[in-house]
Parts: sequence; C-alpha cells; structure tokens
Amino acid sequence: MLCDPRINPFDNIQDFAIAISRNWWPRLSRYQYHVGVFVRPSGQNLKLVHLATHCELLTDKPSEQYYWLACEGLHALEKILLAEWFESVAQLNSGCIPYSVIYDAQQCFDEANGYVNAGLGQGLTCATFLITGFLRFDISFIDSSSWQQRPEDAEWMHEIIKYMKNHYGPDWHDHFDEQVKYFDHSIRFRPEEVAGCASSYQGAPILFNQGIEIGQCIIGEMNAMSSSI
Amino acid sequence: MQTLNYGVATNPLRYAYNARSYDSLSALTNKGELPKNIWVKIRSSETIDNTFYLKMDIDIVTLSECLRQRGADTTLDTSFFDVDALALCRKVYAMEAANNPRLAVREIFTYVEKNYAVKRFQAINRLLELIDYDRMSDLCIIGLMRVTTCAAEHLLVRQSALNKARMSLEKKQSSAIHLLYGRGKQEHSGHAV
Repeated sequence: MLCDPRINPFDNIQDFAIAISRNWWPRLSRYQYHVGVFVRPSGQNLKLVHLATHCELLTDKPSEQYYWLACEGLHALEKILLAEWFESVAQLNSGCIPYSVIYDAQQCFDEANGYVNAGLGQGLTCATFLITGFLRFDISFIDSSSWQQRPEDAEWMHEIIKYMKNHYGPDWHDHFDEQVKYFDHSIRFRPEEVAGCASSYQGAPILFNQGIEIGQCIIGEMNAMSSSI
Repeated sequence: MQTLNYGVATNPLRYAYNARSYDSLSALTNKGELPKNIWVKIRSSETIDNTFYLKMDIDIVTLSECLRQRGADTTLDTSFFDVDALALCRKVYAMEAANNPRLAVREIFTYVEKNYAVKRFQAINRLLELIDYDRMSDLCIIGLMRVTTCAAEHLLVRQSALNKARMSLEKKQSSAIHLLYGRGKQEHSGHAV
C-alpha cells in the first residue's frame, strides 16, 4: 500500500498519487504527519502539490522524504483530472489559502480564485485541502459526518495554533484566535488517515472507525520502512 | 445546424436585444446573406425584458466566427456572445484537434475557477451551453461536468448540459459515461481540522 521511493521510485507514478511525510515534533514528543499529492501534469515532470503551511500552497520537486500511495480505486480519467486540477489550483492559489482548524466542506474552492475564504478564522489544513480537492470532483472518499472528536486532538490544536500565532505575527492574530472558539467541538481529519482513505477508496465513503484503522496501518508501515533503512 | 434556447439573463443590460432583429439575423444567416452591418441591428442598449429567449437555427459559435470572418469583429458588440466563453470553446477545440485534451481540460478548469472567483455563474452557464460536446474528448467532458458539480445550484443549464454530454458519450459508446455523475454527495458541513 505505502510505497517508499527508494524501493518503489516516483517514476512508477503515472498521473496522480498521494504523498505523505512525517517529522518529529519535539513540543508534543511525537511525529507530525503531512499530506499532499504527487501530480504529473501534461508534458511535465512529477510535482508535489501540498498546503505546506499558512498561505503557502506549494508546488515542489518530489523528495525522498515523502512516501507515496497509489489510488487504485479511481478511474484513470479521474486521476488525470485530479492531477491537472491540483496543479492548476496551486498556481492560482499559491499564497491565498489560510491555515485553519475550522473547515466547512461546503464552501471551499468555489469562489475566490477557486477558494472561498468564507470568513474570519476559516481556511484549510494539509489534510482538508486534499479532501476538498477530491470533493471538487464529487469524490467523497471519507464520510466526514461519521468523524468524531478525539481528546488528544484538542492538545494538538492548541499547539498548532499557538505556533501559528507566534510565527505569523499580529496581522493574523484575529484569524487564529477565532479558531480557538471551535476547539471544543472541532473534529480533526488526521493527515495519515486522510492519505490512507484517499488511497483505499473504492467508491464508498470510508467511515471514521475504518479511517482510524487505515491511518494506524499507514503509521505502522512508515515505522517499518524507516527502521529497515 | 443546432437550435439553442437561451434562458434567463442575469444582466438585462448586457443581454438586451431586439427580438425582431434577431429573427432577421437568424433568417439571413440561414440564407448565407449575412451583411457586414448586421451587428448594428442586433446591438441594443435598451432592456426589453429581464427575461429573454432566443431561438436560432445556427450554432452561436459558428455565427460569431462567421461574423468575425466577414470583418465584423472590430465593430460587433461581442459582449452579447460572451466572448470569454466563445474564446474558450475555440481554444478547447483547437487543443482537442491537436490531440491535447489535458491542456484543454486545464483551460476549462482555469476558466471555471476564475469565474467562480467573481461569482460569474452566468459565464459558466454560457460555457456549458455553448460548447459542442461532440468536439470534446471524454476527459474534457467529464472534467467540465465534474468540476461544475459543486456549483450545480447556480448553474441553471447544467442539467441540460449533462444530458448533452451524456448523449455525446453515448454516441461514441464511451466507457467513461459512468464517470459523468461523480461519486456521491458530501452532506456534512461541520468543523474539522
């Protein structure tokens, strides 16, 4: 399922694949996962498109820091469409998608240069960026209504918002402060779960419990691969 | 020849027209007697009605092209024809003819996204309405229909466009026909990280 580019090179990605990486986050003493997509737009080399952080939707060269997952359940045409769309949206929106723990599936990528900034505090994470992109093509790979709050996610939210506030300065304080109001009833789509669900999707939206299992499986595979090298 | 039915115009000033002049335009083009100054007759700054219907026995892309070839493009009130949508149609046809559907579908995405940006749903309606599905690849047909799904409620002609797209794919016996309708709706609208 999970492919290590040192064993299964990026050349094997035809048009579209999910990208996932992890970094150690000392403040929480755990890994922080990050998700994006590998796309091969027409006549171009493979690219990594990902919402790297606040207002930074990047198109990068693939790096071996990332693992990849194929999307076997998608039709070949769907993969081409996703590849072309993600790359063109990254060009249109490179600096205008704010980071936010508040996510509304109904209102992204409709308007402002493909993205609706629906109001103070709204935006996307790397994971919700992926969900939203698929939804743009009417592909609901997760049943988000089944997703539930998990206590440990609140701790993560506080940490990430604290970091963002410090890093992006006073101009953005209102944007991040607004998000704090939603911590108590926010759910989190974790990058590893989203990556795994997008890859495992076979036509039926994946439910929360399955999503957890899939996410744990991804983490297990990453652990096994990194310890074998 | 194709009959086009135009629905409600959201901008009455822009779409104001003189019905009698249009009837004569249609008749003239059918006879191949399109005079250079026909644009004068069709251009009007008056609003006749907030709603207009236009029936023409000619594809509007062909008509626009015909006027342009006759040297009318410098004087023609091209805003009526939704220049952007027509320009995109031509671009898409050219890319499809050059066997480059992936570039064509990117053009479609950019057009759709940019028009969403300013809530110019009518421009997308016009594209859905004007484009000739028989001149598009499966990729572009599926791409156009899928990328407009989430704004379907604003796109009054999308259902009829979907029917045209389906017919076009059926005609070619395309195996992609089942992809027209997407993979289901996302009902949830909550807060998530």
